[in-house]
Formats: sequence, structure tokens, C-alpha cells
Amino acid sequence: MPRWSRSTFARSVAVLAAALLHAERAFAQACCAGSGAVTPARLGVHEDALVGLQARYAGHLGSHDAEGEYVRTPSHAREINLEQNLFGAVRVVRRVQLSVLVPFVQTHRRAYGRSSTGGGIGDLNVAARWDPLLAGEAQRVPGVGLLAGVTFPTGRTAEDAERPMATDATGIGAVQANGGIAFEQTFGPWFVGVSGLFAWRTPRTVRGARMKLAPQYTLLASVGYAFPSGATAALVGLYTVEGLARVDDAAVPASDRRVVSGSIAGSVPLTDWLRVVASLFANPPFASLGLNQPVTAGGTVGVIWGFS
Amino acid sequence: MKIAPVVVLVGSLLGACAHAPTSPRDVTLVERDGASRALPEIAARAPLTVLVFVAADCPCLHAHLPRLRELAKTYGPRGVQFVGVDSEVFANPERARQTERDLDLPFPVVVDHGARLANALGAEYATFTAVLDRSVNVHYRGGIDSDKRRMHDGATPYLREVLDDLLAGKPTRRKEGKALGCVLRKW
Repeated sequence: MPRWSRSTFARSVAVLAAALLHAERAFAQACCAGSGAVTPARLGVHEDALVGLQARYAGHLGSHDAEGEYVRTPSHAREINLEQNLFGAVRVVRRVQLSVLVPFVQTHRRAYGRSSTGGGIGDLNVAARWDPLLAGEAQRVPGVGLLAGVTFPTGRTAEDAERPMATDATGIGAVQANGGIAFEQTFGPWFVGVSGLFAWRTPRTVRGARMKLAPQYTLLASVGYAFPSGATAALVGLYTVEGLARVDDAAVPASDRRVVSGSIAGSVPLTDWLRVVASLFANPPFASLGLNQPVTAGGTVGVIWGFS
Repeated sequence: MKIAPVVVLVGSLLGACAHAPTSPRDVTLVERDGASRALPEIAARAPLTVLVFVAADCPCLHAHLPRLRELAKTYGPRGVQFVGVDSEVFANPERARQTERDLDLPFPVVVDHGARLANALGAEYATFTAVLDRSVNVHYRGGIDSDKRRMHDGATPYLREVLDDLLAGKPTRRKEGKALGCVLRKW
């Protein structure tokens, strides 16, 4: 269970920087604050479409166990996750955009002298965003974005993995429906955002047992600064909680999860329509800041082409 | 009591979306001397008027300033008056004068209280321009050119093309162009 849970969460963080750092107005406007978990590829205010590619590296430092205690990865073990996220977005009407993200996932694991590497396509995500009010449009009311998305189980589940140590597992095996609301505002060159996200996953059958994940709730907060050059920098904090999973309608003890993640991200425009985005992220390796969750650290780098 | 913030938010959103339709001819603007004048009165001063919606802190507008100054210098002697318009919520005559100074604009900035002119013309972003004749007929609305902020040589000069067409007595080759500036803080 931790394998696919981590994968979905990690992808959300990986695409966050791209979604966050579209600030087009260095002063008195930032068009975006983080909502990447549902809207992975977000259009800038004046963009009609975009395509992007983002690479992500994450190394495992340890994990938080079911009691919330941090446990370092043993010296004989190692895990590295790589992802390449191909995404695109298009504006369908003036304040509504649709996006799609196709992840390619690779995992390398080593334990007790044995190692395995595998990967493949992950779970495809489609999302929609409606911005009835843009950040900066009103003085006292923040920008509001309504978010919805669906993640389809196009990846390979852990139980279907064929490689040793399930390194070719790339998906969660369930349809995930997301919804959320984002509030964003600008204060001179600063921009802040708070998003609340909800995820509901369909049940699935694994070797005759009916498994269902609990709903997942995520709070995302961000603060950023936009430079006159158009470059942006931001700090992002993410907190996710998830209740007990159920197998055959019985709650699985100690299967609840909690994730805390922080990242620092930046974006540099190379031209009007081409920008480079990058981020560094980590789960704090401290007790009680996670539950049933690997502790990772890594970075992302990507390039986004926007069209107008 | 708990529902009050939601009501305020929804009301604000509806207020933002429900702009009462207004004709530009019915809009009154406040000029730098503090006097209120109807747009037709201002437009009657020249054969053509270019309204430029400004936000003093918008980098995109800053990037376009050299081109705006050049356009004003080139077309001013040919009967085109340029007028900056401040439609943001903080707008007042003093701020308008400050904007003129800060941006070193070669044309005046007027105050559009309540963003009535912006809403009448569909202006949502700084750098949005509108070209009017003496009778306040709108011949063009949209961006200055196709550049966002990089100012590359290959940009399509929307406004220049429209002015050339109108001064030549020809139909404009475009009626609208995309404005690429900052969101105007109207309320």
C-alpha cells in the first residue's frame, strides 16, 4: 500500500512547481498559486495552451512508520524514484482550462545485495479548473479557483508487478476523483495561495479481496515572489491526511497516512512563451510529521512552452 | 452567522461578474485637473483617440513604455491623441498624476471611477488599448502588439497597423487584438 500511495503523492509534489510558478505579473499580480495536485499543468493568464515536460528525482532517506516515528533507510537498502511528466493544458473558454498529465515512472531498489530497476507509464490525470475570480482582480477578495480532476489507473499496480521488488509498479490501480478550491491573492510582488483538495478513490479487487482507500484531504499553502524579470521563486508547504483503508469493508488498523512536504521552487522565463521550472523538495525526517509514508528528498526540472 | 462570509464571497463574485452594460459614450472621466468630463467631450479633441489602460506597477506595461512613447510621438502630430486610463480601485487624480510622472508618459492619465469605461470596452488588462474616433465609435480594442514583455522584433504591431489604416482612410485590418498585460484591479 505505501508504494502506490507514495507514487501519487510524489507526482503531485513533482508537478506543483510547474503549476505554481506561472506568475506573469511581477508586481500586483501573480496568476498562480499551487493547485498542482489537481491541476498539474496550469495556463498563465494570457496563454491559450501549453505543453511541458518535467523530470523528477527522489531519493529515499527513510520512512515514517505507523506510529509516526522516523526510521532511517538501512545501509543495505536504497530506493530511487525517477519520473518524467508530460503534460499539456488548453483553455476551453476564457476562465476554464483543461489539462492532462501522462507520467512515466521508474524505480530502482536495492536490498541485501540485490537490486532491481523497472518502470513504465503511470496513472494518467485529467483535470479542469475554473477561475471565477483571478488573483489581483479585486482588492479585498482573493482569486478563487474551482478544481476537479480524475486520475485513471493506466499504470501497473504493485500486485501486477513482474520485476523483483515490484520496481515496475507505476500506478495505484484505482480511479481517483479530485475536487478542490484554491484561493490566491497578490500583494505587490508577493503572491500567496491556499488550496484545499479532496480525493476519493474507487474500490478495487486484489486477489479476491475488495480494497478501498479512505478519502484523502490535502491542504496546500504557498508564498512566492515575482521579480521584475519575470522570474519567480516560491515556498510551498503541503499537508495530506488519509484515513484507514478498508479490506472487505473492514478497516485496516494502522493504515492511515499523514504527509508533510516542503519545497522551494523557481521559474525563469527564457522567452515570452518558454520557461524553465525547477524545485527542491523534501519530507521533513522528524517524528510525527509523517505516518506510513516514505521520507524522500529530491528535485525537479522542467520546461514549459506556452501558446497564445 | 457562519454563512455570512460565504454570502459575502458569493455576492462579491456575482458582483464581479455582473457588470452593468454601459456605452462608452455614457462614461464620465476625471481629468488631471480634477474636472469630470464625458468621454465624447474628450474624444472630440482629436480625429482619433487612443485609450491606454494603465497599471503603474505592471511590468508588461513598463516593457511597452518605449513603444508607447514612440507611438505617441509618431502619431500625435498626425491627429491622434493618447489618453491613459486608470480604472483600478485605487484610482484618483493624484495617483493619475503620479502615474504620469512615474512612467514618464507623454500623455495624460484620466481616472475611470468604478471601471465603467473599462467594463464598457471589455478592458481587463493593463496595456489594453482602444481606438476611438470623434464620435466615440470604437475601431479597435486590444493589445498594443503581440509582445508580452520580451519586445522581440517580430512582434505584430496591432495598434500601429490600426492607426495607419485609419489615417489612410482604409478599413482597419483588425478589430481586436489580445492584450497581454496585468489584471486590472477594478474593485
